[in-house]
This record gives sequence, structure tokens and C-alpha cells, in this order.
Amino acid sequence: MAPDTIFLLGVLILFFAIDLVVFISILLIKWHSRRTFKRARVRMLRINRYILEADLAGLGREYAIEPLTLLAHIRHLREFTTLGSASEEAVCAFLASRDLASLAAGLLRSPWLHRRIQGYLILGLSRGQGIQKRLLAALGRERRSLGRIVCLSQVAKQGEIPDFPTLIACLEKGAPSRRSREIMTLTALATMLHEWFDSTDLPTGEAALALYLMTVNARPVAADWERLAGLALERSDGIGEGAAALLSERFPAKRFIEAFRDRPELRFRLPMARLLGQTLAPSSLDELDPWFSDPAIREAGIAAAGEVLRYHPGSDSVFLSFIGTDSDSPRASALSRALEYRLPALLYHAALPIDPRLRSMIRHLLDQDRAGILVEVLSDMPPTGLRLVFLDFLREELSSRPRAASFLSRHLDTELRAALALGPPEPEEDRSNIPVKTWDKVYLAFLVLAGLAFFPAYFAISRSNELPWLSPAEILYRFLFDFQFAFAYYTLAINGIYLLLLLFSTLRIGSEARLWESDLTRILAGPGILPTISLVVPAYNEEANIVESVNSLLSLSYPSYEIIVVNDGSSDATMHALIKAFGLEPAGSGADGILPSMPVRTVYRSPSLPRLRVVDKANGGKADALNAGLNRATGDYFCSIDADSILDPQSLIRAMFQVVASDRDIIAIGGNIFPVNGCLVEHGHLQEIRIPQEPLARFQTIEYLRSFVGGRLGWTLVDGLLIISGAFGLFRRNAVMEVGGYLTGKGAWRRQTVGEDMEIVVRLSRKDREEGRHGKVEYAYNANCWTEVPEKTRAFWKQRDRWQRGLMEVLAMHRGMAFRPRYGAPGMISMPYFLVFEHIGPWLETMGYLVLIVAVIFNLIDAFIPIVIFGIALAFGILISIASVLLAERQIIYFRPREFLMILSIAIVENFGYRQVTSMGRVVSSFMFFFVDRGWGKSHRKGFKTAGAAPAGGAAAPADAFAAAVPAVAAAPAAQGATAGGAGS
Amino acid sequence: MSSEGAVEALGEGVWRISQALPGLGLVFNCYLLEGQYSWCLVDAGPASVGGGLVRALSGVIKPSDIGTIILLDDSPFAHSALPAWRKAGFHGVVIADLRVAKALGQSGFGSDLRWINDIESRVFPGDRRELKILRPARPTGRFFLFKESGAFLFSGQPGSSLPVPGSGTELGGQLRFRDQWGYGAGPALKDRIPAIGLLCPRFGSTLPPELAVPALKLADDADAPASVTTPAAISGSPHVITPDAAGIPGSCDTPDSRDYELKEIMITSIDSALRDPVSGMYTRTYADSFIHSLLLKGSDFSAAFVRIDRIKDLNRRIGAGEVDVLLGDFAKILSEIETEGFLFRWTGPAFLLILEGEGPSIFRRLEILLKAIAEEKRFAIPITASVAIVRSSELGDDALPQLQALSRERLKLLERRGGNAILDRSDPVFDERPFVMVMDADSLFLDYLVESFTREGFHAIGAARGGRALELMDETRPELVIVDRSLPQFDAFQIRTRMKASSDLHDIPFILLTLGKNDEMVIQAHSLDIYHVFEKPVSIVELIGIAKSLLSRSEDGA
Repeated sequence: MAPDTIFLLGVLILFFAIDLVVFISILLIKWHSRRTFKRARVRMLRINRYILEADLAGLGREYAIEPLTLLAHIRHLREFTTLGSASEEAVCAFLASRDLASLAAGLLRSPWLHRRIQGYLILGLSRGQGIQKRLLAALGRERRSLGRIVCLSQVAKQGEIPDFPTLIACLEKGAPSRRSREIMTLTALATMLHEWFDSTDLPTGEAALALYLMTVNARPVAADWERLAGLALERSDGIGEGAAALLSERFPAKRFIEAFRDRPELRFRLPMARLLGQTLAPSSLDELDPWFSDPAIREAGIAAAGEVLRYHPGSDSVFLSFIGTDSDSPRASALSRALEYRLPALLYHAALPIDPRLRSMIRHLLDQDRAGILVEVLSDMPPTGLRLVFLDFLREELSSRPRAASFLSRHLDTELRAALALGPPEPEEDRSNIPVKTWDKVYLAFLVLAGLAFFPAYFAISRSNELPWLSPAEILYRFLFDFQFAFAYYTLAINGIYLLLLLFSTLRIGSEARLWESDLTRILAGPGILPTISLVVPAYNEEANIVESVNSLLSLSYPSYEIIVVNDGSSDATMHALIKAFGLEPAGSGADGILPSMPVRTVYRSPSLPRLRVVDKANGGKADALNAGLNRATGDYFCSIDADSILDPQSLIRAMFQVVASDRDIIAIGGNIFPVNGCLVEHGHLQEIRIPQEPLARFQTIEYLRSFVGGRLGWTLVDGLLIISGAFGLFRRNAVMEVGGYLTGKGAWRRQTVGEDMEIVVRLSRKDREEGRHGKVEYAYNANCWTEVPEKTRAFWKQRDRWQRGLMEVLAMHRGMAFRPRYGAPGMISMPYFLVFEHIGPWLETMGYLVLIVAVIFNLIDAFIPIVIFGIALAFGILISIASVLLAERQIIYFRPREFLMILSIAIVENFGYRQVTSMGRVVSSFMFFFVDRGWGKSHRKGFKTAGAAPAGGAAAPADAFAAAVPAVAAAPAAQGATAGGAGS
Repeated sequence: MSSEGAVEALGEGVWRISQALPGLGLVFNCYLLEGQYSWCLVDAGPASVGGGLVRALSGVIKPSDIGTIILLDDSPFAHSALPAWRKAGFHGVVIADLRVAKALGQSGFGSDLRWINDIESRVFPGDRRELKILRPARPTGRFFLFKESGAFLFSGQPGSSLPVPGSGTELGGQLRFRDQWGYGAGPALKDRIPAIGLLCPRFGSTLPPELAVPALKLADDADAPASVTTPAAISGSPHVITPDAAGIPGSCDTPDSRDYELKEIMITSIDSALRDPVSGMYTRTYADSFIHSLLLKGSDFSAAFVRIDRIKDLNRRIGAGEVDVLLGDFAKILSEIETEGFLFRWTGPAFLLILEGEGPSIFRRLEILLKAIAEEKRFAIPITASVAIVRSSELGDDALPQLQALSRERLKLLERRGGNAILDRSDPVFDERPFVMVMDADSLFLDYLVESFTREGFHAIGAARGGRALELMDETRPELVIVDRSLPQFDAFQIRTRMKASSDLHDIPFILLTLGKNDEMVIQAHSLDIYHVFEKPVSIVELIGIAKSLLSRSEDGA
């Protein structure tokens, strides 16, 4: 036997042995953890009894066994309940009798963050000046932001006056980007701090000033006006802005308006416009004139006018009279914008002849490219005399406004087009329907060819001295012989990478899990510590389950988030269902954001649920809907959720915990996606986790487990994660706005892609590096989302086709990133990985399998080596799958023992066919990408989901159901509507 | 072809009114049972006869004196005369076949309606009379046997409601009933009619009048001598009534056949709507009116509520569909074991068995029943049942609500005791420890809360997941629930919504715990009638105080 053969055989045996060991240890770990869990629970019950009985001796015994868990339990109970006087006295006496400080001292010096946190929490259990000194000293040493937050929260918990100069000195040492969070942990001390600031001159440090603003926010007094005004006028940085905001929010509006009416700075102008909007009577709208004429603050002025309209709902006619008839004043055009959303109502009540002021308003809207509302108006107008007159009027106006005319011709149906004498819709020339240009294709195809030619070239060179002397048959034999070993090493390499990622994942999950187990939720749930989140839920024809989805999203356990449902021009009663269920009220069309999207008709608010908003817009596809939502989002982070996905109630807090715990700026963070198929779902909540019944969905279950838990966490360790699933991902809103939102074929990026969710992550990373920042794409190993995966073969292939296509589009569009050190790990590791293993890999794999099978069939080579190769792949696959399940279940048990065994058996079975076939499928997709020019946007312009097809009618409409069902490991469900409503083709 | 009506006394206060059926050449008989306070008319006849009958009797007794009309036929033919009675002033109770009664109810006939529908059942027309009705299990056959103080009155046609010549003879002679289809009731029927007192055919007069006399005498021999009384209003017998010739065919229209078909369809659908599809038994609606009629009569009875134990558990183990099958089997086996009482499907897994009489014998009978159920091999999985007995003597003026309350309380108690037992009194020990259920996702805190409540003299249980909490609540019926805002599976508001939708759980006091309290959440809580919202960290002392106050308040309200 050749040494190569022996080596491969050895690897094979080794890996099966490892499989066995891992499998047995998994069973042992599970058994052990169950036992430990039961024992721990018994112990906690015992401790509960001791506390309730005020049994100091019992507590002492428990302390002797394991002090840390006892103290953690006491802290945990205190977070949820006040123990009652007798128990509390006993606990305090007990804590005082033990030397907690020296117990903590050892922990405070630990290099591990979670140990240090443990130390802070233990110190926080007891009271006294000495404790506070220790905490402040530790704070001076602490570099990690999470550690500082925990330490500060314990300082605040002491409820005593801290040593201010030291405290401020410590705060100044922290990273400025984390400062607001650190300061917010001290909210409990606000009154005390405020008194201190009262008694002394205002310091000049940034942190001290921020701390001062926090205390004013909690308890402003009249005397603060002077200080704040001073800060607001002098400083143009965040402090100045904060001071101006406080002045406008915490003091009488009149005073603010009087004092700062003429200040030109934006930090005064923006709150001023808002306050004016709230205080102005409709009759004095001309007060807003200066706002309308200055382009920098024009939008703020329009928003202010919108406020006036909201506070005085019956003032339509006053607005109209201000708009006047033929004036070209900036006021008229701005007030037209503010009144825009009332247009349907105004026309509904209009009499003949049409009010000239109304005509003037419509002219202003047309001049400002606000024809979107007219689409709505025209489609709903009853066929009366008014309609004829109105159409005549419009026809005339449109004849001189080609831009508005071309917009309307794209969005109106044939009959209305004819009535308005509009031509057929022009194709949008600037929409590069397929973003890949020929050169991109050549680049990608060249890579494939190079990959495929690599081994023949190597063969020719390495055997160059003997080849000329051999017969063709001998050459073929040698070639095949060498090929099988090359293929074996390729298999080893790719699996080696998987294994490495798994190893990285294991390393990361260990430290992450220990941090999470520190049980910091209560500290983080304090005001202003966790970032605010905007959940954007694009909904297209979701009448059946939208209310339940929104209800389920409303009950997520996260302190501060808003939900923005974007109704993407549904043709069913989605909007009506929402209005009825949540008592929505129209609240204007809202300010137009900077991201391109189809026209928004109305933004609705719920009077009883301030965190819910609904954006009703014309159909434009998922990416377009997300952009519309993003324009109106206010959270620090933005999260896109499919209406039929189910979020674990804890998922947001778990994901955001990573953000707080990280010292780097997190630009995006993804979570786990698991198939919901087969699970028991009721009222938008997951009732029971089960394995899907369909074999195809089962294979995907294990595939997802592997790729999410086993792979992505590993990528974060090398800082190269570039994939966040479209079904559940959180992005920094600023960053997304900065890069121009999702690709919809409009706006700054005149492109669109089927893989929008991978694309946006790549674009975010790219922009971040180009700006010289050091942001990170993170992955929350324990934040779960459950979504439908395709069960039907056709839908499955469509999904995979789109993933591969999306991947290739991204590789083409961002090919400048690959192998460029400037782009760090994403450029040097991730992009090359995608190119080699995801782009060329499937071709190599397919070729390899085909060549070997053919060779074995024709008896050209011994079947032994191919079988060994396959065996290695099998052993690797099993190992990675088992370990992924183990990692996934690190803290929460998802699967019952029977299902766990079933998953393991699926992990074995999938190697016989499923993996090979999916790999071949990718080759087919690549091939189609190169040679068949399909406009995805065209074939699915109805939006990202077909009417009600998603969970209910999946069988009836498999071709479209996939769009809803795609969780998108690599790409998102998004067949964008090229134009709205399917009307303009 | 006689258009005359004849009234004759048959004894025992039973009067027969014969009337010629116009156009058919037959004599139609109906019977008038004399009562102390009101009269009972058996078979008001079809419209063509009834109209005449009204006129015929109106000279003798007032239609308003008739307290009950019993209809013996299930075709619309049988009740077509009722409007005429109603018009003449009848305002009593109509006892009829279920379908007829339902059809009457649907048609807006305003009288109090009672049903007859079992193969063998009893009718209580008033005055402590009991009429036993026998019906062979045939698709269209109807015949009725009236037992009255030991004497029986038979009427009707075995096999059809149309007259069959000659049936009366056979009937009187050998107690073998034969019709033109060769149907025979056989000796079994004979066993079921131990002493034929008075047999009266519905149609014709082929029954020899002398047959009635010895039977009556027989009855006289067996019992204390019955005095043959004459209805006070009818002086002298037989009394010949000559109806107004013009009134008979003209006063009431003969319903046309299309109308019948329509009504048939309507009636069939109504009947099946009344029946529970799972067990085939009549549902609670019917049971209520049955009990009502028993209460009106003032008879002693025991209502035994038989319920399958741990039905939620079964639902989980074998699925709701299988449980339905099991319920069907249970109903079947129950009616096999217990043949004497009246069975209804009460609610969910509970069946109602009405037994005659009260006292220890009932208790023993039910013990045997439970034993038989526990040993029964035909069920898909072995099951046990519990029985809660409510005696008629326990019920006061507000009988039906009392019955429901008592049964609920006793069944609940049985549930907590683990089932497979009989309970015929409310347990005084039961209410001593107030029962609290705590739900919180944090199991450590949950344990602590449960422990604290237990120490304060509560009976407390905990649940960490919403789905489990709902199941537990259904099984154990806590008196107070304390729920954390965010639970896995179901959040607190969903739990509250579900509780409010449930007839059993809607009035359980509800305390909401929450991590962060804001106006939005409090408003939402108020919209669900949650007025106790506590922000964590919550004071245990306060929580227990509120719990005590809420529980004492709900006791006062009960």
C-alpha cells in the first residue's frame, strides 16, 4: 500500500474513533448535566427554606459547600423580590458575618471577565463605605465595558453618596462610545448626584458633563436652565446637543422658543420646529415660514406643520387657505407636503368646481415628485363627475411635468393611463435588473475554470518528466490515481476548515455562555443600557396571521423596542386586519427618509400601543419594504423579521447582550434559525419543538444546526462573519442608513440582488473598513428564530438556486474586497473562502465524485480509495453535526432524547445523497447564472410573498411558497417587484 | 263515516273521545286524563279532527283547563291541530316527540314544550300520574303504553301512524303486535308490560270494550279499590257530542305535503343538532329541560355526574381525536351498564345520569358502576371515572343553578382527590387552604414564591411555561393566579384572554408580575380586567397580603 493510502486509512479510522468518543461523551455530558441540574435545584430549594426560616446555621452550611452559587442565588432572589423583614435581616446578618470582601478580592484580579463580574456582584451584596471604595478601585482597573457597567451598577446599588471625584475620574477613563451606557447605570443615584452638582462648579470633562445631563434629565430644577443654556450655546458636540434637547423637553416650550428662536444651529432648530408645531394655532402657520425657506431645516418645518395638523385635526381648510391659489412660495409647497396625506379625504369631500386651492396643492405635490398619493386617490375615486373634472385637470398638469407623468404611467393601470393621456410606462433604464455585468461573469467563470484546471496542470507539471514516455491509457491511469488522492486532500481540507470553525465556535461559546450565565439581565434592563431596537416586519398579503404575529412580537421580553409593520401594498385585507385589531389611527405620511422606497401612503399609530407603527406603502418587494421601514425607524438597531417567523421572546435580549458585552462596535448581529416545520405553534408562540416530518425538512434541520451553531460562531472568532440570515438579523441603523439601505435598484446603488441580506452585511463590513473603523459582525449563539423551510423539492431547489445566485452576485459586486488587506479578515479570509469553497468548491466536488464513480465503474481504479474518501467525509460530517447539536444545547435543551437520536441518525443519512445532490444543485445554479439570463425580479414582481401561500397553501403554490419559507442561510427571500403592484409592466 | 264525537269513561279518570276521521272512514280516539288541578289530553289528533274536537270539548271543559297535551305521533300530522287548541285558549305544556317539539318550538308555538325520546321513557303529565311510553326500536314505529297508578293505557299503532285494520284485536288478545310488515314485538314486550290495564287504540274501535273492563278490575284487585270518578265537568256518560258540521273540515286547513317535507328536513336537522356528535346522547340543553320537568313534578331523583378522570392527561397522551373515540365508547358502555337511568352528555368528559330516588341504594349502584368501568376491557386505554351525586332534596328554589354549582364543586374536589371515587356531599375541609398558582419563567424565583406561599398557609403550585400553566389551570382550578408578564409559550395576556374565554376560569383573580412597568402595559392589563400589576422586585409580604384580600373577597362574592 502506498503511504498516502495508509495515511488516509489512518485518518478514517481516527475520525470514526473520535466520532465514537464524542458520541459517548455527549451522552455522558447530558446525563451528568441533568443530574447536576436536579441536584442544584434541590440545593436551591433548601436555601429558600433557610432564607424563609431565617436559619443562619443552614446558610452557613451551604456557604461552606459552595459560597459562589449561594451568593448568586441570594442576589438572584433579591432582584426579583424583597425578601421580607425577617428573612432580609437574617440574610444581611449572614452576609455581614462572612468575609465577602476577601472572597471577592481574588475574583476581582482574575483575567476572566466573568470572574471579575462575579466579584463585583459579590461586593454589591454588602453595604458600606469600604465596599464602595473597593468597587471604585476595581472600576479604575476594569477595561471591559460590560465589567464597568456591572461595577457601576453595584456602586449605584449601594445607594450612598459615592466619592464623586474618583467616580468621575473613573468615568473619564472609559471609552467615549460606551459612556452613555455607563452613565445610565447610575440613574438610581441621580438625585444625589444632582445635589452634588448643585453644590459645585460645573466640571469640564466630557464624562462629568454627560453625567450632569443625566441627573438633569431625572430631576430638572429651574436653576439648571442657566447651566444647560450655557452648555448648549457653547458646545457643538454631543453635550451641547444633549443640553439643547433637555432644554426643549424638560422646560416650558414657551421659554425655549423665546430664548432660542433666532439661533441658527440645528440643535436648536430641530426641537424648536417640534415645539412650534405643538404650540402653534393653525391660524399662525406663517410663523413657520423661515423654516420652509431654509433647505437644511425644511423637513423639520414640514414635520412641525404636520404636528399642527395632528393637534388640530379639523384645520384642513386653514392649511388650504395658507397654500393659496397660485403662489410659488416655499410655504405653499411645504404645507402641501404636510397636508398630503389628507388629500383623499379632501377630494372625497370636494365639490365642483374643484377648489383652486386644492388644485394648487396638487400642483405643488406634483412639482415635488409626490405623485404617489395620486395613485391611491385615482384608483379609489368613484366614477362621478368630479372624477372626470379631476382627470381633466390632472391631464393638463401632467403635460408640463414629464417626471410625474412617467411615475404615474408606471403605477396606474391602462384605463387610467388612457384617461390621463399618458404614454406606456417607460422601462426604468437606470435599474440594472441583473447586477452582474459580463465582466463579472467572466471573472467568476475564470475562477471556476482555474479551479478545475488546477489539478490537471499540477499533474502535468509534477509528472512532466515521465509523461512523454507513456501511452494515453497509462496517462489516464496515472491521472486517475493521482486524482483520487488530490480529491481526498481537498475533502480533508474543506472538512478541516469546518472542524476548525467548530473548534473556534466551541472556544467562543464557552466564554460567551459563562458571561450569559452571570445573570445580568436585571442590570441590563435598566433604562438606557440596552440599545433600542426597531423591529421591521414587512408584510405582503398576511391577512391571516399578521395580527397574531404582531401580538407575539409585542410580547417579546425586551425593555425598549418598537415594531414597524410595513404593509407592502397587500392586495388582501392585511391593512384592515391591522387597523381593526390595534385601533390604528392615521398619523400622516411621515417624513420621507433618505433611503429609496416606493411611495408611502400613510403611517398609522396605535393610541394604546405607542411602540407599534404601521407603514402602508405601494408594493415594491421585500427590500423596498425594509427600506421604507428603515426610513421611519428610530432605534439604535434595526431588525428585520418575516411576518411568519417566530422569535424566541428572549432572543432580542440575548442578541443585545452580545452588543453590550462587546467592546467593539457591533455593526450587525445574527441569530440562530431553526426550522419551525413540525413544531407546535399556537397564537404566535412556539409550544413544542419537534423534528419536521418531511425528510427534506429534516435534512435542513441538521444542516442549519451545523451551519449556524457550528460555523458562524467560529467565523466571528476570526472576525470574518459575512452572512446574517434575512429571517432574523439585527443591524446598526446608522450603519445601514450610511450605506444606503437594501438594494432595490434605486437610490445610490442602482442595483438589486436576490441575496440582499448577505449583500448588506458585506456592504456594511466593506464601508466600515473603508471608513477606517473597526466594527464587527457578531453572532448570538443563543438568540433563536424559528421559521418555515421548504418541504417540497421544487421550492427547495428554487431556494438553493437563489442562495447560490445571491452568493455569486455578491462575489461579483464586491470582488474588489477579495485578497485586499485593507478589508481585514472579511477580505483576506472570508471572501477567499467563499470563492474557493462556496463558488469553485461545488464544481470540484461534483467533478470529483463523477470522475471517481466513472473510474470505479470502468474498473480503472480500485474502489478502495474512493470509499476511504467517502468514509472520511462521512466521519467528519457526523462529528460536526454531533458537536453542533451539543453546542446548540449548551444552555437550553431543545430536543428530547428520542429526537436527539433521530437528529444523529439524520446526520448520518444525509451523507448518502443529500449533500452530494445539493452540491450538484449548486453547480447547476452556477451554470444557469453564467449562461441563462433570468430576470428574477420579473418572475416574482408580486412581492416577496404570494397571497397567503406561505404556511397554509404551501402545497398548492410551492413555486411561490418558498419565498415566504426561505430562512436564507446565504441569501434572503426576495424576489423584488421591479415595479409596483404589477401594474406597470 | 260519522262526524260525531263520543265521550266515554274508561275508569281511573280516563276518558275516551272518539271522533270520525273525515274522508278516511275511521274513528280516531283521543284520551282525556282527569286531574285534580288540570286535565291531560292524550293525542290532540290531526287538524281535520282536532278542530272538531276543540269544538266538541269546549262545551264540556274549557281548553284552558287542559294542563298538558301529549302527542303520540312524530309526523306533522300529529300536531297540526295544536294551533286550534291554542286559539281556543290552551296554554299548558305540550309533551311530544322530540322532533315534533322542536318543530313546534321553531314554528313559534309559544307553549311550554317537553320531549319524549327514549326507547323507553316516562312522561309525567301532572297530578303525580306517570305514563310509561314504550316504543319498539323501529324506524317509524310508535306505540305508547301509559301506566297510571298501576293501570296501563295503550294507544297507537305498532308500525305506523296510519290505521291498520285488525291490529287492535291482536293487541288485545295475545299481546303480540303485528302489522302489515310482519313486525312482531315478541315476548320481550310482554315482559315489559306486566299488567295491561287499559288498552286503547288510537284509531278505530276494533278493541272490544269488554277488554278494558276486566283489566281494570284486575288492577282494582291488585291495588286498593280505585274509585271510578267522573270528570266533574262532564255530567253523565257516555256523552255524545255533535260537532258543528261546518267547522270540522273547514276550520283548519289540511297541511299540504310539501310543507311536511320541509318540516321533516327541519326537524331532522334540529334533532341532530341537539345530540352530541361524539356520544350520540342528548346534550346539556336537553338535560336541563328534563330536570326542569322532574322538578316541576316534584319527584325524588339523584343526579349523578359521571366523569372520566384526568381527561387533559389523556388528551395529551393519545390526542384529542382518540379521546373523542374514547368518549363515544364510554357513553356506549355507560348506557349498557346502567340501563335504568336517564343518560345525558353533560360537559366535556362528564355525563349526567338521572336516577330515580335517593339514598344509599343509589350510592351502592354507582359504586358498582365505577367498578365496572375500571374493569372494562373494551376501552382503548384503561380509564377510571368519578361520580358526583346531587340529590333533588339538596336543591332549593333556584334548582338548576344550584345543581350546576354543586356538581362543579364536587367534581372539582374529586379531581383534586385523584378520581375513581364517589362524592355526594361538599367537603368542609376543602376550602381551608386557599389554592394559588404561580407562573414565572424563572424557576429559581418560582420555587421561592411557591415556598413562601406554602409557608403562609396557601396551597401553592408553580408553572414555568405558559402551555403547561394553562393545562394545570384547567386541571386544578386554582382560586388565584399570579403570572409573570413574559412566559415561554404563552404570555400573561394570552393566558388572561384564554381564562376570560373559559366559563370555568374567567372569574379567577389575576395578579400580574412584570419586570418593567409602563403605562402601555398597565393600560393593556386593565383592558383585560387585570388590576393588580406588581413590578419586580416585588415584596412577598405585599403579594401575600393582596392574595389574602382577593381570596376573601371572592369568597364573599360567591
